[in-house]
Amino acid sequence: MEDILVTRELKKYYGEGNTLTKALDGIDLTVKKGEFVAVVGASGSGKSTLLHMLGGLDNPTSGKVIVEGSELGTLNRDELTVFRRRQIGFIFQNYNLVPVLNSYENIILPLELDGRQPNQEYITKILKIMHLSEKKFALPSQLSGGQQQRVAIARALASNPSIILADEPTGNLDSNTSQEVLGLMVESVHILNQTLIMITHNMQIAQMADRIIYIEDGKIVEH
Amino acid sequence: MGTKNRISTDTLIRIRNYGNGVFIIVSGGISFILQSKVNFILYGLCILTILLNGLISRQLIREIETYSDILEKNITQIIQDGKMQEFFRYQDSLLSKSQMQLARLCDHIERVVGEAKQDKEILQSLVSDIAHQVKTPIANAVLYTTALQKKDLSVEKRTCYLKILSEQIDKLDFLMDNLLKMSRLEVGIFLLSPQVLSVQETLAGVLGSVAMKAAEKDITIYVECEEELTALHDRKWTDEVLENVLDNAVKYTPEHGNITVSVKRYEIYTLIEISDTGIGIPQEEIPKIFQRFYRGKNVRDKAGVGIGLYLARQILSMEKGFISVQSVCGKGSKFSIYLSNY
Amino acid sequence: MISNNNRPVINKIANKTYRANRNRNFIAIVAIVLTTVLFTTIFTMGFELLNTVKQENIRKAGGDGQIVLSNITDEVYKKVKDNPRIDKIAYTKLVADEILEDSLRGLKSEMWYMDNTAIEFAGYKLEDGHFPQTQQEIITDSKLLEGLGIEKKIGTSIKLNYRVKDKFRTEEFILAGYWNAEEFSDVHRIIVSKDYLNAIQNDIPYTYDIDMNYSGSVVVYINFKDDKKLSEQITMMLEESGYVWEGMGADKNASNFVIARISPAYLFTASLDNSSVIMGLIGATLLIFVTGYLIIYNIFQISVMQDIRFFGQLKTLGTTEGQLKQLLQKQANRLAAIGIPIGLILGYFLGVLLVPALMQSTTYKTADSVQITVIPIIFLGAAFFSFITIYISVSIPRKVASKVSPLEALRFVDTKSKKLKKEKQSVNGGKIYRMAIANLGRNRKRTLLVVFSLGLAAVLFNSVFTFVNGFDEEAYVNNFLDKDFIISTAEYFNYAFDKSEYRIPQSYIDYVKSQPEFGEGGRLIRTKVLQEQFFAESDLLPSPNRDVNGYPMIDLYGADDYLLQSMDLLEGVLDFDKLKAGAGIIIGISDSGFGNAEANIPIQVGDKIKIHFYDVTDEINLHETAVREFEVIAKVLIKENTYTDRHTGNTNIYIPSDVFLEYIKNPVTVSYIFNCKEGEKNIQQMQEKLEYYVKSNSLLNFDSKKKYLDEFSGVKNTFVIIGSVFGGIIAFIGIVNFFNAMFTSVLTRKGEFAMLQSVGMTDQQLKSMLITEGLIYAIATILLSILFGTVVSLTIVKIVSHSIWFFTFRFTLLPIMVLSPIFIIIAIMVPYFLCRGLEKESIIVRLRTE
Repeated sequence: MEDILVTRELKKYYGEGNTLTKALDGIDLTVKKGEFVAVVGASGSGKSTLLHMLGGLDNPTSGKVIVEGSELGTLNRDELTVFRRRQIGFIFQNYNLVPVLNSYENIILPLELDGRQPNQEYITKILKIMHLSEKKFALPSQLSGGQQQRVAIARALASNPSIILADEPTGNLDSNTSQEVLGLMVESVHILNQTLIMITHNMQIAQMADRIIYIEDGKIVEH
Repeated sequence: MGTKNRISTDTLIRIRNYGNGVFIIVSGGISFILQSKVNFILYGLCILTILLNGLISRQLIREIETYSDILEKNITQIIQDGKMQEFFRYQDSLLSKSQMQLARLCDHIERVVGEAKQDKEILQSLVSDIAHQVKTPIANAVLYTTALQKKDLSVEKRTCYLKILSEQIDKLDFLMDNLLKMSRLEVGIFLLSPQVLSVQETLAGVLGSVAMKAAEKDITIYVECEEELTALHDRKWTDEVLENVLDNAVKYTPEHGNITVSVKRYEIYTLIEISDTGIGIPQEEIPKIFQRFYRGKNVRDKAGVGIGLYLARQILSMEKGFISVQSVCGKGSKFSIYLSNY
Repeated sequence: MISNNNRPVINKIANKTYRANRNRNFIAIVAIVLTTVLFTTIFTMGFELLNTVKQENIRKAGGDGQIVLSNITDEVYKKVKDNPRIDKIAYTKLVADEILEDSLRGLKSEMWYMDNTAIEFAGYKLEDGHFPQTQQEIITDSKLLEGLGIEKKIGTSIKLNYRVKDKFRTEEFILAGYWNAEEFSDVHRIIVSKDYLNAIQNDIPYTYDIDMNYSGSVVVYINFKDDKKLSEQITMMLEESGYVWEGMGADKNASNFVIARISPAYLFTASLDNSSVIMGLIGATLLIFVTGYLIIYNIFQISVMQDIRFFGQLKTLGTTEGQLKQLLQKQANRLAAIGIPIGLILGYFLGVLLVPALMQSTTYKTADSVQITVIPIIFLGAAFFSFITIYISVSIPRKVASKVSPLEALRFVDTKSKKLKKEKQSVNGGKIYRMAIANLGRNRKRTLLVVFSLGLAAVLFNSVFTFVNGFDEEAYVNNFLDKDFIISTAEYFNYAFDKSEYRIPQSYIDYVKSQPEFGEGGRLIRTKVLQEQFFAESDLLPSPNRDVNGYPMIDLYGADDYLLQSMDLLEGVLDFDKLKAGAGIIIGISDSGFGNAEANIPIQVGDKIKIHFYDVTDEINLHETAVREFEVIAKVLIKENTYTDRHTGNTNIYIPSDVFLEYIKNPVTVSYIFNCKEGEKNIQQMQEKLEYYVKSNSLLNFDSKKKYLDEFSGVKNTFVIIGSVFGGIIAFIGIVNFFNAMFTSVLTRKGEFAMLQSVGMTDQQLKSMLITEGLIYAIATILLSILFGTVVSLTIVKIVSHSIWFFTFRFTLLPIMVLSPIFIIIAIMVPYFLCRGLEKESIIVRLRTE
């Protein structure tokens, strides 16, 4: 299996002088295709920042992020955007659904942005799996927290990205829903051989991963 | 979108060219006849518009042809070298999109080929493994058959030898059985037909076959399951899964241990938890146990081929369920089997 | 590359986002409508003005036609008329030299034959009746009929006395039809039929080249097919027929010389200068553009800032910059598609309403004859400019939206992406007013922008008002007349003093003198050019006319002492002894307005000039009667409309009337100029008396300061009305902008306020904080407006005022003062009422929806 994601000496500093914050202080990471990696660490340890770097949401202060052979630093803004569209599926803690679109539209949004036709069967299947079939045309304001999160996950799955980056996707869910949702994700990812990088503080969840990475003060530590 | 009634671009170009020509001539004529300065300006503008349109439509067609050319080349490159050149990865264009799909196809094929290769390798090692394993019982069988053929054998010795012989044959049988199962692996699963059925009934079937083995080791099995609970599953294959897990639970739990089977229904899933007080599974191994042909490091000597959990996961996955495990070395393991409610 | 086929999704998102933004949409449409209204109104008025001006100039010149061939023979006409270049040709012939009707003395009337084309060119549209057919039939205009006292009824017989060459004729004509005369037409024509022309053919031979007698001469108006290069076309046309004209540098005395002229209307020398109208249009367009830009930009900028998280979110999911730009543009287009048509319609009606008001201000008081035409180009133009304004206004917000960082989606607080460098070393930040200030300081750029754009609208309003208020009637009037009244013959006021035979009756002057309101006055006397002429032996005096010796002709006037004493001295001293002794002369320099000498004649005070006095016989022959030497004792500034016979070209020279009367055999009183006794009432009463007097005496007339004042008031009022309307709309836009800024600044921070309230800020405290913010905005805006308003007034407005002679710059900040309380009220009311609205929702709900 080949490497899908590599970081070299990845650093992200904020501020300067006495307000200098080292969010990431030299991360060297290699992820293989199809791996499920769990990222664990205390809050403020830099986990979210790492995810942002991997998804091209932000630029590192120094160091490289290489995804499928392309160094993200060499891409211009529009290329980064298209990269995100096609390669990455984000699942954030606060769902981030577009408020003016209904569930279905939210789910197929990345596809539509790329002008790709959604595979209706596949989408219907996802909706069914996520138990959102009745809420297909509901607006985010009409959904519960758990349902919104499922929409976000469905969205990440629908466009078949190579990498799914999840930041505490079950953070706002109760433990049972968490397990269910997680199971769904892991299964789908497995079938499609997608790479899943998930931030979590829940060791039970982390154990389901192929590999666990511990982050402390912006660096990877051995456990 | 049907392609039947669409006009070819060649025809369109022809229409454009002739149409332009006619229009230019006619309007030129009218302009000339009316002989007003304004007309000539309008006429000039018309010509400009026509020219512009012509240039643009020609360029559009060129672009389309370029698109097709590059893709054609890309496909050839893939077949020959395995990778594309002139790959516009992250451009917001039709070409880029198509190329990415092509790249995906490549990956998919690679993966399938890789998997097949891997499977083949593992199968080979397994076959050699089994062959190795088979050697001993067969050797023993030969040995004891030969021994049995001796004329003056005591009755006790004969009984003993026959017993051993029987055991060896059993072992062979078991090995063959698993081999068969493995080969049916792929085929069998396609015949999965999940339905909403009573969980308790399925469990009952499984518990029956496991109960004896458990009793042998004095392991108590506690079961909590409400009667009405139903879930989506294929009885036959889910049976296999549960039996597999329970088998393992029994196998890896020392004597006088406990196994608890509890069934709870949640919004989307029904959870069947099988916890034991067994030897547990080391942390690093946990992700690996669901892999194909996996056999735990410290359980090599126990009988069994490690296809159970991989198969289990596949089956459950096809039923819209899944499986996860928690374990502490030395304390026990808890397998969570999720069946979809509908 | 072939672009990705991902267009539909942007449309979809644009539509849905559009619907979710009701507030912004409403205000944006209002702003767009206002801007379009302004553009449309300006264009409608401007277009009408240009059009009307052109039409009226043509009418004033007496007939349409790019080219006029004057005083030609029938032969010339026949040779020229078939030239292929000609589109239309109109034939007219003067059939009488003079109309001898007393009642028509005040009106310049002529008798012509005009063919149908000529009648069309002149724009005579018959109110009633038909073109003259039989020999006796004539058509004429309403004014002439009124002057003659004849009923406007077809078939009425009209008896006319007129002179043809040296014969006097009386004819009884029948009225076949008439048209309504324009208020200001110079010439009133009586048009005879072809039959009549043929009948008197022999009586009116062409004699112009011999005796300059006009009757029998033909005037032809020509329109070429190509309206460009008229001069060259004339040359070619005439050459082809064997004639020459001035434009070819030909000799005037050549036998084939033809008097040809390009119509003044086509030379664009209108009294209301076309170029000034166009400059005005351009200026107004720019003004409107800036105003529209300010508010529309603000609206979109605020809207984008409100939706920044949304844009960041879209960026995260894979929306490129280009797509985000398109998103905003589509919404702007939709708003434009709604707002512009509404604005066009409203603006058109407003323009139509204002046009008559505008027309009154010019010399074209033809409110009834102004045809309001619906020209598509007005709408296209206004829509185009409006759209351009919207497009440019949206361009910066569009860019901002597209460059949003995807991380914005993950933020909760309304912060700028640029991190602050310094820590905040304070412990008192919790006080309400400090919080208010800090809030505004959070996004300094935005605060400044809002204040700036609000202030600018106020500044614009102020400038427009100041400008409009600068009309100085006194200056205007003084340019023409520096005494209360001037009386003379009607022909004098028609600029035809020279040609008329009529003299001011002494009774007129006596009447005026006998009034109790009469103050002091004096006569202005001169000679008839056809009887006596004067030439000065000096190279320094300009004049188009010279005698055989090359001496320039001068206009010598005798003026009563009263007039001499009140002339505006430029150089020298009024030495009455020398003047009375007949040894001194005063040279008059024309006033170009505002007391500035138009062209100072280089002659010096103290110079001695010899003046040759001539008698004129047979209108051409000069006999010198005397040569007298004078010393130039002073140069004065004179108003042409007061101190001349209103027919200039030569230098005006004044001597006391008694001296004048000594030297001159046949003096003619040009006019009597006088002032009333002190008091507005006196002037008013004198005016009324004079009006009554001339009513019954159509041969006499008068001018008064009051008349000019009234005329000018019309102009001023027009500008005030238009300025107020425009200024009002601009001010309104400024107010709407302010309102929007206040409104959105509260609404955007709903979640933040909820958070504050959840940690203990009371409703009252929240209100105070917001009202304080609002007041700071308002006060900053007011101060900025005052500062910039003053600067702009003192620079730009002042310069513009000085360039127009009847303007005086009057500094005022009144408009800003008027807007200030409105701003303050909005700044207080909006947050107050919004807070009240917020109170109704629970804190949790407010936190959640954020």
